[in-house]
Amino acid sequence: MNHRRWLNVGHKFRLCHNRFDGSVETRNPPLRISGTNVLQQVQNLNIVFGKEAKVEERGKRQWKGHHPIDGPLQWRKNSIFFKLPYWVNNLLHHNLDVMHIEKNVCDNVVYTLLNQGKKSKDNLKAQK
Amino acid sequence: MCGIVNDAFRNFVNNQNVDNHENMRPESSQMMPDEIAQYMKFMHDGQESLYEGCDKYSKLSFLLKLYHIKCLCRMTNKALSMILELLADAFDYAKISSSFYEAKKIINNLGLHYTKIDGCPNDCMLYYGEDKDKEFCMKCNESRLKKTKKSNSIIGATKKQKKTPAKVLRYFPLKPRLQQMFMSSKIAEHMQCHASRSTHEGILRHPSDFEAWKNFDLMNPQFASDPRNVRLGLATDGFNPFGDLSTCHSTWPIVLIPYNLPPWMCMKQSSFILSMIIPGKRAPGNDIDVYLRPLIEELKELWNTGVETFDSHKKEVFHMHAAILWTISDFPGLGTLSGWNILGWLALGVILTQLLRRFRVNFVS
Repeated sequence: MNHRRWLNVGHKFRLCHNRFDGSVETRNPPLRISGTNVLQQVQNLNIVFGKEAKVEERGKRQWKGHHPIDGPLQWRKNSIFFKLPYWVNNLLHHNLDVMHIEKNVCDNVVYTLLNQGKKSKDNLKAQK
Repeated sequence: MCGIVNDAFRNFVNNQNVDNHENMRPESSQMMPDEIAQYMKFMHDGQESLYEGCDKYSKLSFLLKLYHIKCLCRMTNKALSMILELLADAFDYAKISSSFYEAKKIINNLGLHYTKIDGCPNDCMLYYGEDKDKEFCMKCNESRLKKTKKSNSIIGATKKQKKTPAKVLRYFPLKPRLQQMFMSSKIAEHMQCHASRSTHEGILRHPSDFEAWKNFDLMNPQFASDPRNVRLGLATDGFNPFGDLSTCHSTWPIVLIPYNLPPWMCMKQSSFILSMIIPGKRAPGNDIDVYLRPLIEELKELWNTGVETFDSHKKEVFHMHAAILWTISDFPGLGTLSGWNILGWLALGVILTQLLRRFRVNFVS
């Protein structure tokens, strides 16, 4: 039930503990991550694209799992867009295409309003 | 007809006709001799009448009309080839090229080509720039050429067959396409409309009302000083060109959207700029950066040095720069473009490393 963090500071839902998970929300929304911050996290990632070359060795078995990546795990690469000199200072880097998201959100709202059995989101899970 | 030809070879024409403005177009003197020969041949095709005594159509205009019909009605190459054969057979006094291949050779001179760049079938590298002449992939040692499925030998190695590259990226150079937008005086006027329209506080009508756009102007005042500088959006998604026949093929086209145009124009299919087609059969995934390299290099050049462009609305030459503002994709596409891991419990939301640490502490305790 962390989504109450995005409400205004004095909103009544923040204080309303018995209708939600039994706690009063006092936290602010998480800080927005900036381009410089992302670059800092990503800078030391050393990732080589493509497929590993086949090693033809017989006899000893080698561990073929993923190689451990240094640095924060949440990033998979240093995106090539950071090579553009202005990219770091951009406010908005990546947009989501609304078509699918709009449809799913709209579906959920409509099914919840119509109280459509399984598809309604107003269920036990939402109240937990 | 001459107008079209002159548009395609604008540099050359200006050099010929406007001798007194020579200081205006420094690059026009760099025209290659074979380009001049190409232009002369093209001009000749454009002025040659279709048959003796015909004023209405020239050889080139007839071909272009046919080609237009082909594109509008989505005729196959073979259909047009057969029609041309029939026409050439029936009217042997007219100058009609006998096959589609011949016709395309003439039309191709109008410009807007694409370049084919070979790539490693495992998405390791592109044979581009300094690695242009390499035969094997530097990383996975895979051959550049296509192999047979059965014996895993290179096609054309033993039998007399044509050797074909394993994977070909089709890249459409960006500069001529942006220059083309300023060739038509109407579009050139629209290309700077985002600066002159009236804006109201709190109303979003155009991407130029966005906070991100305004911030970009603040950060790059030199770029923002000329409204003709092109701002682009990059969109990409995978699709299957083979319809229902194959379920596991994913080709990734990359499309650029010029945001300078007014809102009713910039989201039309006609103003989209196709930048490259990343071939299947697997989606490039995290390795999409390998394929984006030519585009990013061209964008860097466009940002740093710019390119001389003729603005037909103001009738002057200016230095055009271009920048990518943002990318648009679906959620898996966002993962491939940005490098953000979209799987797992941190997939959604904006999280700082500090927050991450706090969560971990909570889990341990």
